[in-house]
Amino acid sequence: MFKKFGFVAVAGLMTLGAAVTPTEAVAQTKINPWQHCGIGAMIFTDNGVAAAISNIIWDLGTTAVASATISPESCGTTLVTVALLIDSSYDQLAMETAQGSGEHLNAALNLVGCSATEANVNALRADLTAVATSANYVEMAHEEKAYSYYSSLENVAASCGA
Amino acid sequence: MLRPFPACLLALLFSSCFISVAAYSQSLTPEQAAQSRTWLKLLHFDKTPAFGRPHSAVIDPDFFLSAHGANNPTAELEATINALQMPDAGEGEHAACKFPARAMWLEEQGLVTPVTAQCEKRDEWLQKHSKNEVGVMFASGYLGNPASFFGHMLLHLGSNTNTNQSPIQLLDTSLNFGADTQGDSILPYMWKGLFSGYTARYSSAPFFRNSALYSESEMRDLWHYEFNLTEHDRRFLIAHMWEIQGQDFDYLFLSENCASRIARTLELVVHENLAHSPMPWVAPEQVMIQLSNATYNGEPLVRSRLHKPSRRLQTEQYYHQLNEQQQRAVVSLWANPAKLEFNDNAFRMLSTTDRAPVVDVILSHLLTLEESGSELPIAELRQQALVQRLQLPTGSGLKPEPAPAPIENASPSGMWRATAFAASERSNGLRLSARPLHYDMLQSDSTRMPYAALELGRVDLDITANTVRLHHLQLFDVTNLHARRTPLHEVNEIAWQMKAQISNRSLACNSCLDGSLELNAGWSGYFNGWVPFALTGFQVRTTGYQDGFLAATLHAGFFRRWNSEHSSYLTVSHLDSLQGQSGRLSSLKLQHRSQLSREFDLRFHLATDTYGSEAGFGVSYYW
Repeated sequence: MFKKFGFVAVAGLMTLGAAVTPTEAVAQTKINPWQHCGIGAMIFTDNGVAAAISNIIWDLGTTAVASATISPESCGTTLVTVALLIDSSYDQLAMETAQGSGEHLNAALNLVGCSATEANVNALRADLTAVATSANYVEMAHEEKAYSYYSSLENVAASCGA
Repeated sequence: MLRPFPACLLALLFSSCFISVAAYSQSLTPEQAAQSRTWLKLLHFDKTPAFGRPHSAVIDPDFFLSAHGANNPTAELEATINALQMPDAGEGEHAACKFPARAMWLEEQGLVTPVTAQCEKRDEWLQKHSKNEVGVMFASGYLGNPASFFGHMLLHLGSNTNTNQSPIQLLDTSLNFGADTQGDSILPYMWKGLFSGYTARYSSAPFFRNSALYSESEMRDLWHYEFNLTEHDRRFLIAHMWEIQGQDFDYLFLSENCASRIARTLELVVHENLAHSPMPWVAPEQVMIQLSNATYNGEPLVRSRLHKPSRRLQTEQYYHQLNEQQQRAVVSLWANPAKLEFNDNAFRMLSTTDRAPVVDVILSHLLTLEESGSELPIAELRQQALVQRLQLPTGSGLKPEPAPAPIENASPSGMWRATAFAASERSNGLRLSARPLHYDMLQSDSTRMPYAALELGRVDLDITANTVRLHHLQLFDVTNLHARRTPLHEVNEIAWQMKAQISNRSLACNSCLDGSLELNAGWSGYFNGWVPFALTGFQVRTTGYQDGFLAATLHAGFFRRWNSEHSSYLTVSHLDSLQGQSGRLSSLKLQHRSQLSREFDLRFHLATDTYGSEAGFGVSYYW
């Protein structure tokens, strides 16, 4: 439930970027959007009351303008968009990566300038296998899993245009 | 970081807007222009109160360049013309930056030649959506939240689904019109929503955010309707969307909501009354139907319809695509709800290729379970399934199934019905029924919500030789049988019912009205199309003709949709307030619906209770 509220809050602060080239995506490495772009704070603020209200009134459509801000200097629009996609859809992305296809997987790869080729999908599957088979996968925080996937995507982006 | 947008490209973008100036130029005088339909639509000048002057629905002063602009379109037009010709300070605050659609239209009318202004954010928006098609996204009704009963609408900007063979819809853009409810609790929220106190605004977000909320979390089907707009109107409308984002509008839940505002926004280029309503509310479903029926330049406005099934529906469809051995494997390996036994023989006997769809169904269902608040160890189960799936080959052959009928094919919400009835203990007669909203169990289907009812305000009047009497007033009846169409675990999806009514105490009398509020919850199942159910709960009621203000309730029966035209619903009930015979009632009711067309159906019912019986045959008209 808290994910939903946080997501609503963030949505008002960003716009969807066009697909970028792999070079641009790679240029934004070293940044953990969950730590450096305010996403973690907004996404994972577990305000139970606010979340409940947000869910109750959703179709009234609260826009829930967030007080937190994203620094445009350190966090490009595309980087935030990639992070938000992974954050909102990690479970779908993990499932589709394991399956080898799916709309979330296509969207994530497209955002970093790649396509769902066998090589790219296999690279993501290999990384996910390493993460999912780790002993602490079940206990891993959502943002850890999400950042792990983000890092895999960065690696794919670095090579997919080569 | 967005790439810099070359000035020449921007010039081309705008010039293409003006290629068709001659075709659209009306050569209006400023006075005529100020009263023209397009100018009034640009200002959202659609508020016509019973007392007071017409005014704009926008209440944000930043939307107006004249101090009187909200009430005076002429003053706003003059102020806009002046502002568009002012020198640009280069700060992105020029009128041409804030109001590109106004600038386009006024230039087309020959009323202004806007100065060239530096508008980075405007250009960013226009560039990003320069190839987008305009459409709407409709989220089906959601019984988990009264505010969502009638669906929700979003404006949608995305790739052309006709020419793009594999559009990545998740990366499209949604414009949500929503109220800022300031964190109000439920009572002020209801009061302000119904009677004023909230403002609403458009906000832009990537579609994947809405997909996550509606499809993956609330398990609602989504429909994307794409419009067949000319290049000029497409660009004009997208430019207008830039103007209205973040502007505060009047908001009322019933009449000034997402559906009415989106309809009014689209009326900028669609010359129809898309927010028309014979009732004092505008429902998303109603606007979707009107969009479906609308014509544009002599052609249907809607060019294409795409259905995006909810996660739950996808899982059900995938399960039923499994062959018998695979289905048996799903059940067998997941016999213990808290653990997946991939060493189970039924699973191991399958070929590697056949195992993949089995695990895919489980993974998909785990997404549903997590969102339904399951108490199962979802994280552990998901890890097991994920690791197993990663060992199997990619691809599974599971595919989305054909879309259900779109909402415009469903029977309308409003209903008139005439029923001839014969009663054992009362006079025979004619029952006239009316209902403004929305659908009963016999009408439920995949288009709205299967195995559910949402009836508001149904009135049944009995006319006999001498009298006209109220037989039944259904204030509301919200029922969700939550029928499980797979044997997969669903721990928290209970069937439930909530209803309030004024009705005769029994079938033996015609002037023995009592009021009641009833809450029930329980079990439902799905067996080859039969949906049996058993609900229990309590009823709080008046005691004019019965004893005990609180009674225990028990309802059991079945629902069956035989085919797209025929459905039946049987309910056996027992109510008991533990006050003896006068506080007790047993009843049985069998109803059948035969749909003749979208607007007409035939109804047949047999009912009996402790004191009397009744049979009836009726014809309904839906509007």
